[in-house]
Amino acid sequence: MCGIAGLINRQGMDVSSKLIEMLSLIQHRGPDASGISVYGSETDEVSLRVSVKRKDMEEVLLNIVGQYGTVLSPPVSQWIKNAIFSELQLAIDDADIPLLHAAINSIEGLYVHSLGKGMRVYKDGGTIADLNNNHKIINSIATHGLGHVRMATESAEDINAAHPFVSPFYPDLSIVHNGQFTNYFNLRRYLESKRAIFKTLNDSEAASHLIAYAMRENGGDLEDALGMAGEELDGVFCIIAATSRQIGFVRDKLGIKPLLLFEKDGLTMLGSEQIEFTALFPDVYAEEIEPGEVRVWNI
Amino acid sequence: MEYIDAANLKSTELNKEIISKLERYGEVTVQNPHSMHNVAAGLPTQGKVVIQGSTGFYTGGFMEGTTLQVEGNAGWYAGDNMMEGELLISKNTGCNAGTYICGGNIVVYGNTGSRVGYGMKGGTIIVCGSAGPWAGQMTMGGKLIILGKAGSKMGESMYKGAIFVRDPEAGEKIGSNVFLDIIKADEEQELKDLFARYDITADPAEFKVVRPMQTGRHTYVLFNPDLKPELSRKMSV
Repeated sequence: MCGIAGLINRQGMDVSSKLIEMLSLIQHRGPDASGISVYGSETDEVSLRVSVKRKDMEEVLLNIVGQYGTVLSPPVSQWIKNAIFSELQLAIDDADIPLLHAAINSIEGLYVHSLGKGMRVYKDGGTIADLNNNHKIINSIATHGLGHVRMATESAEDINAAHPFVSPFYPDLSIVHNGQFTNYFNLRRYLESKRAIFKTLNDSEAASHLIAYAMRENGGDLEDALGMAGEELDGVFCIIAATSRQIGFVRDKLGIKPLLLFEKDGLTMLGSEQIEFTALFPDVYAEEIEPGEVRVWNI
Repeated sequence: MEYIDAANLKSTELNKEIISKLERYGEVTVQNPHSMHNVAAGLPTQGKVVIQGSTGFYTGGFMEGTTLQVEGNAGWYAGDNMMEGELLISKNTGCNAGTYICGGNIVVYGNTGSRVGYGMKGGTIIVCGSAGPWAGQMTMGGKLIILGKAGSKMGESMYKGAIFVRDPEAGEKIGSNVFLDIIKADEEQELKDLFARYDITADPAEFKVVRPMQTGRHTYVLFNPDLKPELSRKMSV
């Protein structure tokens, strides 16, 4: 299984803690990993969150970042279980962001979790409670975000296989996915021919590269990219995807994996199970998304 | 009236408590179900159970004659595999309500999700509100009645059975091997009796019926077991 959540807030709210609350209500859908991505109001500061395999690789990371931009604050690194999570702020030209993203990912032992303006991805193995306790999640006013709890079905339980996924093709995009794809290897071959760098054997990573590549080619049209993904991806799935300006979803044509929507008081909530919405409203009747449906909101 | 406080119970403990109360008193009310899964699932008894609150998945699964009332919402697969009995849900349910039932009656006074009555082989399901897509998918018998707005692809891959709808746009929402028929006189009477029994205000004459097409392209034999639920029943109350 897996469980997903999405939240759009138009009235100033701490999105990350609400997402964590929503996800904790569907913790039963998967204990293997969890993660959220949150998009704040646009700033000029670019944040980078990276998982680093060994302490001595931090030097390598700083060198690469230095080639494309300027580090604004010393990296804050946390040792959590067997991995190091580094976060730093940098100044960088927009055009260089995808190049930096690809450059970091091309090094074994470094994996970008998020790279963008006002965008942060927090993900790790283990439960939502672990994620909340172990990571310093910046709870600031944000506009929208998405989250995921994972039950590993198609690849190993590994913190880098946790969702949300991002891709150097379009660094601003993050996706979460509930379901399985059956055409992973064909997709991977195609995407690698477009110079995608795969860091895991996870089918959701392939989806992130596919959608990001479409976004790059179509000038950032999320609805178009998700529609294409709904056609190209073979399998059962609900995908929630976001950039700093948009958030949307696609559901598979047989409606095998669940996705519900509830809107009230300026809030839009997406979730796998109705109980997630009780984090914000006590008794709701959520709309079940039509199979094959694609919908995108502009922020 | 006997009560059970389910606030700190796991579903296995709760169900054991319910059975023991039913054996002794014939009825029980459960408080604080806090949307637990598997509430009143696998009850091998008759008797009356009232749940004051909402329940999670698989509510009242595999019932063999119990009357179960949920005074709240129920999650996915409510009342699945029922042999006989009654399941009444005051508010809404999730998807796949009444999956695979062989007999008995389920009434959802609110809305239901997708695939209500999936593979049902007998029995009756009444949805007073709206239903999601694929209502009555692959049914092999029984009656599904939808008073509110129907979802798309109703009756997809039906073998036997009937889906009663009064949604004016029903014609555009049926599956690929079914057709919309007019209601027969005996069916009208059956609906009239059901509505009276469950306090539902509706006019049976407004309903049309989704039935599988008999094209003759496929010949199959439906296995029609002679169900004797009273023989399998482990205890009577």
